[in-house]
Amino acid sequence: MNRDFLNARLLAGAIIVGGVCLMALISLVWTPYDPLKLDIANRFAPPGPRHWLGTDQLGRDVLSLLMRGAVGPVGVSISAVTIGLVVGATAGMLAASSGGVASYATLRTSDFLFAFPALLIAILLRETLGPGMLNAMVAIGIFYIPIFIRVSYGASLPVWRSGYVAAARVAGRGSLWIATVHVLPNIAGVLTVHTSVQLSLGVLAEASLSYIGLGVQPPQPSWGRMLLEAQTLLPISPLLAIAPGLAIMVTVMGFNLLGAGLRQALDPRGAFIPESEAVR
Amino acid sequence: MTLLTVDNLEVDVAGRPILRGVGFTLTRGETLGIIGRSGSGKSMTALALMRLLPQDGQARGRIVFDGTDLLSLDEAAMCGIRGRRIGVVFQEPQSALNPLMTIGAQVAEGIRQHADVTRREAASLAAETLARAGLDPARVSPDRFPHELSGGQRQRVAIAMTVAMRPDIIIADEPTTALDVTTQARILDLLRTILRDDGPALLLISHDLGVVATMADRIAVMDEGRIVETGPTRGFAGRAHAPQVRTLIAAATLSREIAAPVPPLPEHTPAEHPPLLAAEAVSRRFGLPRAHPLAWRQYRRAVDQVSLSVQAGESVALIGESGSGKTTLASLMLGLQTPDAGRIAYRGQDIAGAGRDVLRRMRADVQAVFQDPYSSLDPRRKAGWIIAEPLHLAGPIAADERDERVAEALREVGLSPDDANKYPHAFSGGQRQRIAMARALVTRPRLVVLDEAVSSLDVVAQARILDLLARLRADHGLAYLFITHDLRVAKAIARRVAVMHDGRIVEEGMTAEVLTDPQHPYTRALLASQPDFSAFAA
Repeated sequence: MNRDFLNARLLAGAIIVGGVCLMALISLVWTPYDPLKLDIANRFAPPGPRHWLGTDQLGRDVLSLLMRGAVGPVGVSISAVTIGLVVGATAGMLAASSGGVASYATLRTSDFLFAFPALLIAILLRETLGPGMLNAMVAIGIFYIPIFIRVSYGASLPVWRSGYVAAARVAGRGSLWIATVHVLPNIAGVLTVHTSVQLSLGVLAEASLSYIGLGVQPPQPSWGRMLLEAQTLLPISPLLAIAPGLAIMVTVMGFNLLGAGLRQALDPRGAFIPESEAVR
Repeated sequence: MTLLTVDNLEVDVAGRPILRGVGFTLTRGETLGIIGRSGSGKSMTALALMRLLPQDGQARGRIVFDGTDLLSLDEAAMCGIRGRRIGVVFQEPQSALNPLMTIGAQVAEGIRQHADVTRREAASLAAETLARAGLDPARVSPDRFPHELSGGQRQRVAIAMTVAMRPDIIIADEPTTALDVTTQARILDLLRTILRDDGPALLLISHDLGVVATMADRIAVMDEGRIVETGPTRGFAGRAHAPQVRTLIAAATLSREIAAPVPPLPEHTPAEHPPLLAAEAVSRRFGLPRAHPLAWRQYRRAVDQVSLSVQAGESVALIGESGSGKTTLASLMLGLQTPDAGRIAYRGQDIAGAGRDVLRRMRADVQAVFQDPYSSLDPRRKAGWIIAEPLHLAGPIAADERDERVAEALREVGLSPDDANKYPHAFSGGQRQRIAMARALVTRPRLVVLDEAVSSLDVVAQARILDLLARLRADHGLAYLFITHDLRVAKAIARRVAVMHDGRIVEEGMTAEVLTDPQHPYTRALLASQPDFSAFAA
């Protein structure tokens, strides 16, 4: 395959993801208008020089809402994937190292978690802890844990059985050293690719939770709830639905492109062929 | 009558020259052995004959088979020749068979491809061929799947697939390299039977001079894409002049390369000097998959009540075929697994209950080199880092002293100190095994456990590593526990041998005595399966 094209995917993904993250960060200190300020007199203003994307049914500036609305999906997705990655990858790696009862218990627990849809976990958490962004993070994060357990278990199993891990044991190294120094770097490629793919799913998951009212709470804006509110206003002002919809789509696509680009760039089979193998 | 003439065959792959001016002939019923080191172009020659070169491969010259130049044929005509008139047996029977088809169906498929027979006729012909290949239908039914068979049985299936069409030429590319010696001997017997009954010509490709010497009528030696010497097997060694051939022969017979002889052992009184490392009646069992969820778990004893000791400065070889439990025993003695029963003693002290200090001293004293040079070095670390890994056992160490120790270890194993900055993929298999050896030596150990440490290398690389081991033993008084399935290697390196079979040590004694006067039937079978060089060397 053409390497330049692959690099283009990586580049495009990185630019989109970087742009969205930057936008979310900037929105915390500056937006064109205060996204929470109502201006009923000016509601349903069409796009123009004063409001680039117009205003909504309460006269709020749509561009400002869109910018601040990125904080929810991006923030929740990144923190949830981080929870899943740290807990799941560690558990998966250790399960692969030990075998036996501990490994069995970890894998069966992850099967058990798999059986719960993320939505169910989110509703469960809202009933017990109340709605909000933090709970959305935890809910999606719990959903990610078994996914990362599976990925890191599968990737690290052959590494734990490899000759260089046996050699490290003979060299008197403990499991913790081996896990961080030998296993982790050798599964880092797989984890990186998987992380970027899961980030795109995280954006979608947060948007769905906000859409059904389990995510970011009003009055703070979020793309998912913007979609919900725009739904009834579709005949009056279709832009109110199109803007957050496109924002979600582009962000998800950005993470997907990043994942695909990383997969190609990090896959050793695509990256280089060691000389010793080339001869055969 | 000449069946195949290869004339000035040249092959380039991706613009790199692989074969240069290769020429040989093969007459009906003749066996030509092609030997050479890994990467010498043997397998590429076979692929060129079958027109199965990699996509970016280019062949020039002439390959005349039965009057037609194969290089001028189109792909459709070639398909009529492959399998039907020229058959191939590859090295790795595992990957040559389709895991989703029964062995009978696979053989039948090949028959139906080339002969106009009904499904039923093909099936019965396949069953007949499998029986001819030594797979008695009463014991190994044609309805079995490849994963239900052993490596040797799978190779029999591959041979059955090849001989079913009674081809004029059989190309066997390292057909026994993946098998242990006793299985190898039985597969070679099968090939001999087929040669006698069907009379095809055989092109036998191997890096193992022993296999070629016992099978071939004529031998061709390849080196760097050329045939450097060719002639009848009888008396080949005496006539060979090319220096590459002399190296190969010396390496294969291990006659010259081992410079330092096995040294005599200093006198020991066991009561005063407990052995450096000893297994005392250790057992280790593994759970088998349950037949159904409520079934009692069945166990297989990989190591059964085994005792084995290594004195300081002593070389012990542990011999046995794959599955005999020798690698499990090594891993128990290295403390990588815990025995279910019995104990492992380091200088008389049980390592199971030992404190950290004792374990650290044991780790510094007992090092290991593993079988696969491609998996035993972390691909993400530089050679210098890899070699330095065990150094922490001696306590904190300054960076410049560490670098000095690494450089010293690299020089010791015949590599350059500059190699410390390279990643493993820059090295060949033999060089990687040297790096693994350097890692084992860096703590200045008393004992190195070598688990099949040379079996994946070609004979010349093997002989060089054995030479290195002999020199290190002479210089440092190292003890070795050498695990191998190769008697030739055991004889070259060890003073004492222990023969393992089905998880038990069935025979133990001085190398010279065991190998000249074996007591146990298994040891005798092992010895009988050694290749015979006599006609070749005469």
